[in-house]
Amino acid sequence: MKCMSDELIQKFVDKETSAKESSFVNSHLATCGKCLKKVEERRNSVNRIKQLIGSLNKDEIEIPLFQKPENQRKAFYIRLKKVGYVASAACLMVLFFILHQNSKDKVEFVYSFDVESEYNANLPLSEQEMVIEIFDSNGKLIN
Amino acid sequence: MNNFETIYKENYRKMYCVALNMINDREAVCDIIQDVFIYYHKISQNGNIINKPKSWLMRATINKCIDYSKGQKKFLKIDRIEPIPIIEDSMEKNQESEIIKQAISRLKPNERTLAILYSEGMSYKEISEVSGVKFSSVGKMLSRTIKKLDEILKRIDYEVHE
Repeated sequence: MKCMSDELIQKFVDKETSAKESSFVNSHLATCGKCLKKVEERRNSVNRIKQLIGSLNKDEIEIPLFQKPENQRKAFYIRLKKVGYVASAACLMVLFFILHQNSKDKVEFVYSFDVESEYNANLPLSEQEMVIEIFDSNGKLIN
Repeated sequence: MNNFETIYKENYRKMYCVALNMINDREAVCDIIQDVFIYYHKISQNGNIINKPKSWLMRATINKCIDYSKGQKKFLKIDRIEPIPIIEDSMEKNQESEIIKQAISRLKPNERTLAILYSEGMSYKEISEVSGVKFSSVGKMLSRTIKKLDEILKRIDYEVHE
């Protein structure tokens, strides 16, 4: 019969073998003194290591109070900031809208001039006669 | 929040032991555990649910410890070259703990993790969850690590008693 592998010995020592493996190990150990010795050796070394590592931090450990992170507050401020930005943007838009509305009510003047009718080609440009007519948006002559 | 506090109280001690075995610096261990819990708190506050908080916390602690020891290595290289056993005969208990500390520090990081988790009495399933090693290969790796640790211990014993 094939002898036990290192892995199987370890598993057996830790009681992590499956049912199939356990039955194999039990029947094998009954006949093989070599493996029995190996298992005993492994068990001893495991116990020693566990004991040694376990003995490292035997002193009492104080559990400090958990300090809640201040991120929550920060997040709140960030959210508040965001709300502020949105509000100010909205205010500006409303302001523009109101101003725009007001500017529509203003009287629109139309300036027009006509030079061609009385254009005298013999005179220099600075001495040309020019008539300026100003209308409002309804076409009414103002001046 | 109540749930968080129970998780905090239940896991702190174990995390502390494991982290202390990994890096052997009490202040750093406290900082690391605090960081891990703050991160956990943040995640749970955001509405994410962690299925196995115990394994998650332990894994986070171990990863942080590995990161920490990697960072420390840059500055502690000279110490690592010459591990001088300062052992007094009168303090037998101290001697033993020094021996095991040295032995652990001579293991590779993943072997160290495995050995520490194993000595905390975790099952193979828990070890595989925490360390990220496949469940089927935990036994193999453990047997190798135990063998190696045993050899190192024997060597140190020999060095000490010379």
